[in-house]
Amino acid sequence: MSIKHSLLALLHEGPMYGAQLRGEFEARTGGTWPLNVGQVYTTLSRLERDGLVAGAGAPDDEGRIAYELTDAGRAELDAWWSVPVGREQTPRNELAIKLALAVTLPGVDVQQIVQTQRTATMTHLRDLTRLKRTADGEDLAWELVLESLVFADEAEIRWLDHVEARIARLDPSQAKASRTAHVASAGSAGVREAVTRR
Amino acid sequence: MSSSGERMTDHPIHENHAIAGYFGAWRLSLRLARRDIRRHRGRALLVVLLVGLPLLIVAAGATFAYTRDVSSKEGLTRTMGAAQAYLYPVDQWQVRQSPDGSTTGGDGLLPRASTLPGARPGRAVTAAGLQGVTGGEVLPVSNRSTRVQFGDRKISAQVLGIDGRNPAYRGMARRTTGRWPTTPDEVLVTRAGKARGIPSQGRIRLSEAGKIRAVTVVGTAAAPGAEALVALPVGADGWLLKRDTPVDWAEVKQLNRYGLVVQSRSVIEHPSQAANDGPAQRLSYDANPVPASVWTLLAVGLVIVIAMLAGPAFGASASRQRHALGLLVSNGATRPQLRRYLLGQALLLGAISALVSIVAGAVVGWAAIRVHVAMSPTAVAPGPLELRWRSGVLLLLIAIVASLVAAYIPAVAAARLRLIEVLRGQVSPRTVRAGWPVAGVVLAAGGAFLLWVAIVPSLDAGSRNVSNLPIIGAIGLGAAALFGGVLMTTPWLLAQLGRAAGRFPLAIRLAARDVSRQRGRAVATTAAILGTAALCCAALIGYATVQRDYAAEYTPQLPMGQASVDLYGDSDAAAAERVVQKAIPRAEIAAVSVLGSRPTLGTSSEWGVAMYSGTCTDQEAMQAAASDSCHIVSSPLAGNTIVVGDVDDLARVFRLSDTDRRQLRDGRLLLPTAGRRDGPTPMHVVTGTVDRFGDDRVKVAASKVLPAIASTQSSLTYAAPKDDTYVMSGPFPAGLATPAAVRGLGAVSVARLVISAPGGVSADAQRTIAERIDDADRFCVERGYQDDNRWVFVIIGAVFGLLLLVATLVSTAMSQAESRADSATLASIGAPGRTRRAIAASNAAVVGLVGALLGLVVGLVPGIAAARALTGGFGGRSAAVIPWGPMLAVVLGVPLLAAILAGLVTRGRPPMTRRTT
Amino acid sequence: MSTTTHPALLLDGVERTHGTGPTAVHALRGVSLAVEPGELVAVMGPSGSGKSTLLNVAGALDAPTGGRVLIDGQELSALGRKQLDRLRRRTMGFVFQDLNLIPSLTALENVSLPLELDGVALRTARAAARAALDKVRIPELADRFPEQLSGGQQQRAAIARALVGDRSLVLADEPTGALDSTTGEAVLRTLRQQCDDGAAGLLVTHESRHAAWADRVIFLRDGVVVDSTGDAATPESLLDRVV
Repeated sequence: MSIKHSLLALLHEGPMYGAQLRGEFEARTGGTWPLNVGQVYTTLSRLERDGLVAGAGAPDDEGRIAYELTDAGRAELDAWWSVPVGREQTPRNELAIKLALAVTLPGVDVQQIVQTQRTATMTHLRDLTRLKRTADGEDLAWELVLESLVFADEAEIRWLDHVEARIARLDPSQAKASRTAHVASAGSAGVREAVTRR
Repeated sequence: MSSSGERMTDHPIHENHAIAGYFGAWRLSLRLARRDIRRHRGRALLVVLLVGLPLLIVAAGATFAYTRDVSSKEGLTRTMGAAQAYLYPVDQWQVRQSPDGSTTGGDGLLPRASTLPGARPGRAVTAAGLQGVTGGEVLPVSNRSTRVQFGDRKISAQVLGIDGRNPAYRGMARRTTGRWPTTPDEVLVTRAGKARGIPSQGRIRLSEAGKIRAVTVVGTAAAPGAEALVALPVGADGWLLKRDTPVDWAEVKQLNRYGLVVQSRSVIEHPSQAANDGPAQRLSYDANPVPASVWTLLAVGLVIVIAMLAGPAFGASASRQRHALGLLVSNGATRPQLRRYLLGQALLLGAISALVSIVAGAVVGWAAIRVHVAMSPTAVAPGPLELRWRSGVLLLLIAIVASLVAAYIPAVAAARLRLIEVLRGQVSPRTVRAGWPVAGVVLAAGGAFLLWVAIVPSLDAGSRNVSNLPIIGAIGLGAAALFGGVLMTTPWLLAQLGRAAGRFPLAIRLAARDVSRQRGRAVATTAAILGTAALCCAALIGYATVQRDYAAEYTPQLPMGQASVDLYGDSDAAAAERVVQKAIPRAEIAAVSVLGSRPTLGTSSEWGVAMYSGTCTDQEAMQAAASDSCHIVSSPLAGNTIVVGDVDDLARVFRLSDTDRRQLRDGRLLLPTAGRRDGPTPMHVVTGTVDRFGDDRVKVAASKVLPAIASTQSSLTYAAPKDDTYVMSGPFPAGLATPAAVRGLGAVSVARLVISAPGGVSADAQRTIAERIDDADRFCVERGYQDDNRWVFVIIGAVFGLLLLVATLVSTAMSQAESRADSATLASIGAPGRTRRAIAASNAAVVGLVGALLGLVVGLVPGIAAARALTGGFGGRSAAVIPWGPMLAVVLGVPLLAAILAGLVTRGRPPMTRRTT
Repeated sequence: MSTTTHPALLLDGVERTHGTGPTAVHALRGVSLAVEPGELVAVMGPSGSGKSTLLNVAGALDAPTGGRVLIDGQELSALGRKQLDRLRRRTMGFVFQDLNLIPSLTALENVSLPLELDGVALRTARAAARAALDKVRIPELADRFPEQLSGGQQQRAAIARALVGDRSLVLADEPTGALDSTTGEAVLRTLRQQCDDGAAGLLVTHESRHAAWADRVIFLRDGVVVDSTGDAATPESLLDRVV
């Protein structure tokens, strides 16, 4: 994950050292994404190379250099705020691939896969909720990040419910908690098509 | 479509044909109504019941009345058997009669009747004479009153005299067992006679005009006229005319000239014959029907009653359909269309209920007739079942109008619904409009005032001029204002009730809150109950006050519970005394005699007594020709006489003091103080006869001078005297004396037995004596003011109570139906079964009590006003009687009864599961 | 009320069949489930899976055609109608999706209803009701009528009623069904709080985020339990999976 724009956003406050940047980042994202200092410095030098940040003054006694935003950097930051996060960056969804293959391969109990995944996700969701309960309302950022996970889990479960219902409609015997019959028949060509139409 | 060359716009879909559109819209709403009714059978059934019940009562009552009533046509066979006509003579004058012969009379004086050819003038009509003038065979019919003796009982009865063997009489009586009488000494006993105790076989004795003869019972019969016995004709009260040719109207008029009333089969069956005869038509009973205004009033009353009963049901139905109506509006329905939708249901339900209830009512009426016949053998037989279709159509119209009236206001209110709220499912109880309660009180007060002012003077001073239009208008307006004003305050009252409900136990709290929230339906129900209760209370107040006045007016003729037997003609006093003694062994019988013969009913020559002092002749005294020198204390004209008896008897009957007793014992004539106040005065006593119709010719029988003295009492009466009242029955004592004192003045005969029984004369003793006493005598028992119309009280209470009960139960049923979800909730939190019953009972009690108590208050005003007006003329008694007992019995009792019924009928367990998976 | 030996609610091989013969509908086929005091268990499944039937059977609104239902160790089949009513008044409470409250009673009167029906003195009942409304954080709404409350507030009042007094078991059938998600979350938070305070709860829902408030989630399909989540993970192990 690129932390380029995150660093730009943090520098908007004022010049900061690399270590400071790391600390700020973790604090403001609820500590859910711990950063490696080396990663920070690497990104900073790349930003400097691109002219988006610049050193702010001379190194201090310990040899740390503070960085600050340049005008170009500010413009880049503004652009980042206003432009929605791109979709092309979405990583490959292992679950979708798994289910797509399961549906098209004979002898695979799709129903079981769905159920197992759902239970696991549900458990995860439950645990997240439990965590959320400990929140005292002080750390909004942390709560928001937590809730993004919650909603992601919910979306996954809803998708799993949907998959289950689709399979049931296709072949009623698959709706039962029993073994699936062979799926790849002429009648189920549509499903295959959906997968290949990418 | 396009291929035919036409385009869509050539035939626009929405064509505007105004009238066709109107009917089309009604047709649509009727069709919707039909489907809606099929889906909600329970609701439809309820409305049918509410609209149909009053109709059924009216239809049954009308059928009963029409059937029981025997018209001339229906009574042909019982009047004249198989003959052409029935004739009877009347007086000595020509007859003016109605076409069916049931009424006679006429304008002005009538000429003397012609004599029948071949008969002597002035003599009674004979069969021969009739045969001569009619050319047919005449057969006698008699119908006499007689005294029947069997065992030791004597009852008066009618005897129908016909010859059952002759086919001409067929239908006048029907022989059921035995055979027809063949001699005058044989009789048949009818069902009526048997019901009164006459044995159906053996020998009985008949006494007619003093002569007793023995007859044998040879069988039983059924007589439509409810006579007790059927025998061969004794003399002739009328004749049957047996002939081949019918008697037409012209011949009837001809016979009328001989002084005969003719009931002709032909004229009765074809009344058009007499259509042009004005005077005859005027005599006809049917020419004076009940005035149209009364019918209108009754019809309007019926519409109001039905509308009041059915109103809440339509209101609830309208509010339950709110969601459907909201959908209609969101699809573009206009307000008139919504109203039409609801009114369509009302129209259909009104028609259905009318048909059902009219048919059912006819059946009930027929059944009532059958029951009546079975239970009253001594009543005249009813006619055949009579159904008048015109009345049926009228009832149908009334039902439809009433349904529409009942549904109109809820329909208007429902059509004005607020779309958004309804579709979102909110039931928003609008707050009580500010100012309404106050306006309501003002309006009610104004209405009460108007009502009072209109009723009291208008009926005062005996001028019952109710057809005066402004007065009626004022009464109507006042009543409407009073009613409307109270209704306007009702929502506020109900809201207060809801607010105060926090402290009540659960069931009552729920009922009070429910009533206060269901504004529309609660007000409609309260209106119905209020109106009914108000009418009931007003009627009870009026009736009770009138009864109080009648009771106050009543003058007893004897001390309470005591009896008297007045002897007339030549009946045997000793025998009468024996009858009384046997029935009441411990009775004390005082025999009160009169000087001279007993009064004989029906003769023009009167035996009388005159008393005078001064210088007139006996003749003058008897003729009541007073002069200055002649003071006539009493004469036959006054109708009183000297009462003679044992000193002890007289003392007991007239409550004489010891002084008076001494006077009597000394042989003096005792006079009431109003006579003379001085010491003993010589009084001439004359007895004789005066011929009233013979120009007062006097015949003196005896004359004597007696010492007379005034009694210590101001008047001599049988009962304790009330101020300003007189005892009405005689013999009136002008003076009292012992038999010894009046010896020589003529016979002394017992005129009255005054009977004093310990504890009063019981009802059984009364019946026993009445059956055995001679029919010429008069026996009566003083029981104080008898309110024969006590049943009116009961009827008023019962009818209104029933309406109240129905209205209350209907409202309860509707709120139970609407709160089914609440019942499920209560069940899910573990409410015991009796909770649901308690809630239903509380609902009934709260609705009923609120409405009835308000109605009581409202009814006080017109009730007291009417009571005052109705009795204002008599003796200045103005305070109205308020019969709290019966009123509270209805006003409190009916709601409580409704509560009990509601609680019993409700199922304890509502359906548990609220939703399926 | 409940001791450590009894689960608050125990379903043992419960079956429920509607009708007979070939057209019979098997709503529940051998479901076993235990809810301990202090535990909130959620039941999820598609429509037709039998979740509502499960709740109805657990709450004695419906009788099973096979198996046993025990509440606090007492078998429901052994109880008569009156005893079941008493159970409903004293031991368990229901929360439905809607129409929970009686419209003509205030919130306070609604909450005190089970106690009043049980014969508790009016003052005591009202005091307990106030305490219950406090617990669900809507004490200021005591004298309002249900139509003056929002959906979420109504459900919270219903929960208060379900737990007023010493009650130990609450059965909720889609309590958030008619509410938006934030309000629903507040309702679930309330329910969770009650269970943390010692009540046992059985919750039927189709919202996974709401089911997540439970200690255990059970998946029902065609009348059979096909899966259930186990015990909770620790917070630390949770975050390892995030990146």
